[in-house]
Amino acid sequence: MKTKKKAMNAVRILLSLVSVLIIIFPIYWMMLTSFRPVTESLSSPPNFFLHLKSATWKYYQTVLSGKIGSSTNAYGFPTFFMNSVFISCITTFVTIFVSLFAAYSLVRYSNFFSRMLSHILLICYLIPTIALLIPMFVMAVDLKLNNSLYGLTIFEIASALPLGIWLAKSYIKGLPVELEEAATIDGCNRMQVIFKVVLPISIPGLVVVGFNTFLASWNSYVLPNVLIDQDKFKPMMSGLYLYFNQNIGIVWGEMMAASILSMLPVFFIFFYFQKYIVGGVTAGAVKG
Amino acid sequence: MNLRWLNTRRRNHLFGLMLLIPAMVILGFLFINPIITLVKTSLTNKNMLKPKSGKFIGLENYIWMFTETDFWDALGKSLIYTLGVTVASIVISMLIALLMNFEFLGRRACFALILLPWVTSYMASAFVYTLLFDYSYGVFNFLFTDLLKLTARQNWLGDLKTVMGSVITVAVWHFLPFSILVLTNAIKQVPTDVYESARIDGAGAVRTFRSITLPMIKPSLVTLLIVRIAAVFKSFDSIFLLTKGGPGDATTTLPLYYYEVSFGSYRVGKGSAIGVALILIVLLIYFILIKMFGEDAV
Repeated sequence: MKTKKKAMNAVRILLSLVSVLIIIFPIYWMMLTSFRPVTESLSSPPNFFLHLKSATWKYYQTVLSGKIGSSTNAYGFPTFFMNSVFISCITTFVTIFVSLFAAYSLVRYSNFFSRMLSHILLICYLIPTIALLIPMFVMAVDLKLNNSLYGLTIFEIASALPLGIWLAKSYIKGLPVELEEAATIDGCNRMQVIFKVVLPISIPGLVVVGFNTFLASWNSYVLPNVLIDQDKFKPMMSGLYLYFNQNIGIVWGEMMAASILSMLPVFFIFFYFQKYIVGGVTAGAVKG
Repeated sequence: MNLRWLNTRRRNHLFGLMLLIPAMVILGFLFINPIITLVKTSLTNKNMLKPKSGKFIGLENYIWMFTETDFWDALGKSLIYTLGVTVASIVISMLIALLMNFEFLGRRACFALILLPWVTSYMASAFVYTLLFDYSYGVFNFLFTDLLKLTARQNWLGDLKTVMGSVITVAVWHFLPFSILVLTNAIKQVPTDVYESARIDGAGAVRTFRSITLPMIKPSLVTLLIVRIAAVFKSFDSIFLLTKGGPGDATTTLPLYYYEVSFGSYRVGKGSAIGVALILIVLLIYFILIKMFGEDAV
């Protein structure tokens, strides 16, 4: 019985490892291609391992220099990166606070009006933002918000907000009201209650809100693609995609190096906050 | 006394309202307003190439849409895509979650790695999968043709027969981590003594899964299903970056068709009608699923 169970477990571990390997294989392939000369990447049969002798940083250097091959683009990776940092940071910051305020109000100051608002919010959350591309584009042109980082940022905030409020609401619902009452008795005014009591104990929930917002705005492609047509203002994903789709041929090494570099911030944030994020999913709250 | 109580109550409402203002302004101006604009535009013949267009033409765009075979084609492709991605990702993630549902050294590390596709951008995955699907140098052709000798070499992203399957594969890859996570946590919640007694009663693995695990994790499964179906149905980037809807219009699902009509050929009025249809279909999907499984599943 015992040996049978042990053998069974060994098989399960082996199968688990195989499935993990299959799942991360594309990411492994990305790294492999970014670190070796393209002649090695394009071989048949494919080469599954990195030869240390021919490993190279040169694709990373070209990408970071912002000028690839015969590209005529004046702006490259560094510009896109900084634009994305700007857009995603502001979007995340604003979304966290606006979501916190709105969710707190909807949970603690519930009345007829706010319950109605909750329903509207739910519908906003369910509506596919992609369907709103036309009106967002028309509005942006009318208000001269196209080709501007601020313009794109406010539209990113708008598309992140319904989910943000929804997540924050489900987290704040689970918080005990006693702490806030105690703080009021101790002489905190309402604003202080929010900043000194609610904010600190909501951090796990707000991390989930923040991560979702950051991930969505960092990886967003179609909205910036529609709102911005000057390379100078392009964020990461739409900028890079179009950059590699101009006539510079298919440069696999540079493409993969740029992909890896573009994902590093998200990977770092994800691993840093992993405990909270995984916990948020457990609560059944996060939308992937 | 009574009066003072009333006063604080009113002040409370005012404060509650004040907290809502930023959200209301942003959503009203940038979310509700666009929805109204979308509906209005859908009733006009607006075309971005013709500055003088934008005349009210009633329901003409909707009639055009319903008589256009491309629209029904796109809807059909959307359904195939949604069904394929949802079913495949849930079945595979269920298998992996069951497989990994026991303690072993390196389990945490495995999970950390499994979650990576979740945070990978669609641009990066489009790049790497284009290489993996490549006709001459791709790993897929190496695996299925050279190694396992299952099929002849395929042009996975360029062939009408295989492209939908390839696009679905990439989407499943993106959606797996989240589903695995949710299901693993649900399975972990099932108390072990239930399994213990089932084993003593002589129930086999399949029977245990069907009679214990499945009913116990049903709420999570339902939530997952609802969130997934709608998210897959409205996904745009994952297909567009890989194939742009091609070859031909083999992977032009409804969101891509909407984009194509509005920004590819600038027929904004007609595009808006498709946009309205898109919104209504997604809301309908939610409505049906919620009616089927209960309101608290969302």
